[in-house]
Amino acid sequence: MTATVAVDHVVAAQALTKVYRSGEAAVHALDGVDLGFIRGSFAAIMGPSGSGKSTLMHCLAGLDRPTSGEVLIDGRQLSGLSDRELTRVRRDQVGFVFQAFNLLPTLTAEQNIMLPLELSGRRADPEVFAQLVDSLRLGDRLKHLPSQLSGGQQQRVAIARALIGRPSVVFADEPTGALDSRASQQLLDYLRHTSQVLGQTIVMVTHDPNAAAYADRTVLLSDGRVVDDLSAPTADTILATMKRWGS
Amino acid sequence: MLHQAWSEVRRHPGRFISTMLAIAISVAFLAGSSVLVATEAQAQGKAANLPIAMADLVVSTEEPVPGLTKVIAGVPGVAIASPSAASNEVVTNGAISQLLQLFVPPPEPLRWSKLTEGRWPTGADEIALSSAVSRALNVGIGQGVRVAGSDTQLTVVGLTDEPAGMFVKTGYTSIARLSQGGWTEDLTTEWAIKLAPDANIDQVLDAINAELATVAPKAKAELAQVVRDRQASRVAGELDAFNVVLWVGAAASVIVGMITIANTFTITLAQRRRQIGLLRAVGASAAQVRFRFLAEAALLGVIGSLIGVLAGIGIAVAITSWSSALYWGLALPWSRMALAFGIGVMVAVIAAIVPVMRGTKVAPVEALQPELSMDERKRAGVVRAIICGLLLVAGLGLAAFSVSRPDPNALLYAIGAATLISLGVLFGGPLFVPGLLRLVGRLVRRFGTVPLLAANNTERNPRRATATATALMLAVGLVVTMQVTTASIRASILGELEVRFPVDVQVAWTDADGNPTAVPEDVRTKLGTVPGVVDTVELPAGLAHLGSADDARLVTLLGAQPTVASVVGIPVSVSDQQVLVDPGTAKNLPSSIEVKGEAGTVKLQVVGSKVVTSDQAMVSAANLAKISKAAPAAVIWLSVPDRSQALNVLVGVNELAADQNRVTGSLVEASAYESLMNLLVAITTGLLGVAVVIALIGVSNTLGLSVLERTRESGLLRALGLQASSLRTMLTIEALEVAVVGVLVGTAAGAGFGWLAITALGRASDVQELSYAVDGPQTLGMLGIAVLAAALASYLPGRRAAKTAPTEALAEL
Ligand SMILES: Nc1ncnc2c1ncn2[C@@H]1O[C@H](COP(=O)(O)OP(=O)(O)OP(=O)(O)O)[C@@H](O)[C@H]1O
Ligand SMILES: [Mg+2]
Repeated sequence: MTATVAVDHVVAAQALTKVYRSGEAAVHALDGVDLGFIRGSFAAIMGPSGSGKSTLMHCLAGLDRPTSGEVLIDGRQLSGLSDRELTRVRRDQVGFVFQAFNLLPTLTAEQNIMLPLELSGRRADPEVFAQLVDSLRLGDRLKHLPSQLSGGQQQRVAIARALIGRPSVVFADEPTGALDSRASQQLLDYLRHTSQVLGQTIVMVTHDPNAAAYADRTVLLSDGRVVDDLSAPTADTILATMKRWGS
Repeated sequence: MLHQAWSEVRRHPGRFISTMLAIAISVAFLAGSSVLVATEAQAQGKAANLPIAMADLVVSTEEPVPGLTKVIAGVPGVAIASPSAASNEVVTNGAISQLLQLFVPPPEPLRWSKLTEGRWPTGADEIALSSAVSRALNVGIGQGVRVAGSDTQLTVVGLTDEPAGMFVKTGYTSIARLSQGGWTEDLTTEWAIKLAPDANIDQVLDAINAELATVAPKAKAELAQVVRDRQASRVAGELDAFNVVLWVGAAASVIVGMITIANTFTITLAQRRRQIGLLRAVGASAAQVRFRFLAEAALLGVIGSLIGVLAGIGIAVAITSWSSALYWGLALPWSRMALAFGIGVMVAVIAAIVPVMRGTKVAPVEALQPELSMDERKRAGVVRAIICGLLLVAGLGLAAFSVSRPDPNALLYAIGAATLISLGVLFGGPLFVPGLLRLVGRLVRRFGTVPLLAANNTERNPRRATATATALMLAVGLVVTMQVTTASIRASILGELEVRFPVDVQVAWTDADGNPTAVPEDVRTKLGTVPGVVDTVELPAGLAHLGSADDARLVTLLGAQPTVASVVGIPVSVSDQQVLVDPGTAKNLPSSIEVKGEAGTVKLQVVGSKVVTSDQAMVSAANLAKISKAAPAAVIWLSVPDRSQALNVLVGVNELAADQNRVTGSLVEASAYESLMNLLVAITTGLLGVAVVIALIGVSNTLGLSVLERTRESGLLRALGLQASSLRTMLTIEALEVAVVGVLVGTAAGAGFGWLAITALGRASDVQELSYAVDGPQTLGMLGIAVLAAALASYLPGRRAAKTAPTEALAEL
């Protein structure tokens, strides 16, 4: 094992590979990825379409199992875990925000937010809940069903759900993909705020250099490999780097 | 278009399997039951007519004609003419007895069974038994059995392979033994005939009949097949009640199947809205789209029905081999099987019409729109409420009318009323089922997150849940109706038997002049120990005259004992002022009468009671002492509550009594009735159970398709940390909610209809008062099984849901 993992890495990948096989053809979606994210960091993962961003995120979050290599969350290896244990890791240590379809259509906004806590039998701290709802401006929408919410509101509910259990890390896969620029800005502002003020670790996949600029680190993927790793990037430096890697 | 339909079915088999299954099971029921009945009837036809089971021709005569065997054998083309020789005997081993039909085995090509062990009997003291009988009697080769009521011992020398028939149990005897009993070949009235290999059957038939016309005008020859068919159809005809139940079961399974199929179609069409929109967008007319889906339905109907017919035959083979009827060959009623096939195809198309009409009303633009919200929140219409209300009012009115007064047609009215009410309830499902589901949901939600999710899911498609619950309602309703009705009739008939023939077995001793004499001491003590006899009571008896001298009636006068009531099972009380006579006699007697015996005369009040027969009367023990000089304990009554022991008990008692005339009672008749009723209840429940199974498949279908629709949700839940097992639990709860509503409403309706049927039956026949009875364990057991099976029905959908990978929540649309 060549890569060393810093002790304070909340999430780390070691020599991670993921191979999709369909018949004879094999797609190396991830091809030896070594990465670590420290507590309180806000990282963006970028790269051309098909470069393996989503795959990386699924493997890091315990949604999918890598072909080889290791993922550690809070220093704990995921590879040896049973489905039951892995499910518990997702429930208690990880939060998600997807591009769309984040919410269960039969539950109200409030029930959706509470779902991970309810599943683990924990009680929500009323103060945390009130603060979250307040800062995401969801106060008057709590009793609504997802179909009665706008796209931006739905994403904010999803973020509230991802944060309420105080997970070790929140993963977001193109969280602003379905939003207009104003709603995107608000959402990204809020993510940055939680990482900076609350020390929440966030890993976000995005296509948009402007979105990536909100993060304090940008990891560039191409053909399943990490090709660049920028700290405190601006939209312009990101754009320039991306051009260099041909996308 | 048909070709397109075919490729659709081939490419998405999963989508169609559930529909196909529903069709296949309905058709399997129709085809299977007709094969079953035909095979059983054929088996009964052969088993009840064993001597001609293998014959080509049969000659029968009303009167024996000496020398006829030679005449028939002499006709050209006849290879063998074998006289049928048989006798009925009860044989006994220890406490077990069997009534056997004993045959003399005919020459080889006419033999219907094979020896599995030993040899055919030849000597007068030999017997061969079918294996089934040898097992029942618990004897093997070389061991002995006794002819009941005699000291004759027979040695078992052979065992044969044929099964025990429903009515006939077989054994084999020898000519030597029959001859001892006075049998000669000249007494034969039936011959089984086998033809020479090259003979023409019709020519030989004509030749024999021509010969018989001169020698024995009262004899005639027939094709053996014709005689067998006649027997088979007589057996089938005797199973008329059975046939009615079969048709009710078939109709139920078809209707339930239809609801299930329609439901499945609705869901699959909803899933294919985009595909439909796309078809419309590329220029297909609405009619073309409709035709296309109906063609799919027809194709499914054909495939499903084909599978159903094959499965039906398979099931019939399994059942008949279990019941041993298969020994006599499988009967395939082609026309009925074709009918089942046709019904299957028709049901598939008819069930598809409404969903197709509704589901294909898709505007072309809908193909381009994002996924529609799957949840329907439609208000049930006012029209539905009105129609449903009218049906209920008419049904309840007719029901009230049918039970209001005695009327021979009451049952017909009741059936009409039940049909109207059922239609009202079923059609009105959307009005009340969603409410009931919400009620159940409210209870369920309290138990946590998983139940909450389940309850939400159940309520998101009220129409779908309603249709699923309705199918179950119908099936359960029918089963409970039939169970309650048969249980009530059974209770009433058995109660009636108890009242009409309260004394199971009576042993009475008399001397040569008919005077009661004491039952010998050893007999008295041994009677109570015959296996099956639970209780006995000894009654003192003497002869007495009822009434004044000229029309006096001589009866055996019995002295009442305190334990009489417990032995006969009905209340019996005789005061010192009363005399009990049988109800028929009581009508013809004045209200009080003189009872005169050797010792004296007492004037007593006449009371009718069924404990005594027409040649008996009963008075209090004190009065008997006044009337009769000596009152020996000459009569013993036995209580035999387990009627399946009837034959064993009768043989045991007869042996002790040593004279058949000393033993009387209602035991055999009652036992025949009881086993018939039990059989009827079992068959009814079994057949209608199929409808419940189909409805449960509907539950599974609906859930399975919902799971397909909710793949993303399942993935999301898994991603958020819901365990796979919790996902399965969620689906089980969904299934249970629907099942509980269906089963509860069905049970309530069934109990009501059962009451209606029983009351109407009572009104139609003033013969007896029918009492309402529910066979608790049976009905509860059935309901329990239905609910349990509903939970099981969620197994496959649950497994599929649990297999959903968390990443599927994120998959592209
Ligand atoms: N389930 C799968 N089966 C087979 N191949 C897959 C599967 N999922 C992803 N791939 C392949 O793996 C590679 C990486 O896919 P991934 O979804 O991670 O890309 P991405 O960077 O997220 O792209 P995008 O920006 O378009 O979302 C692609 O070549 C894709 O075709
Ligand atoms: Mg992606």
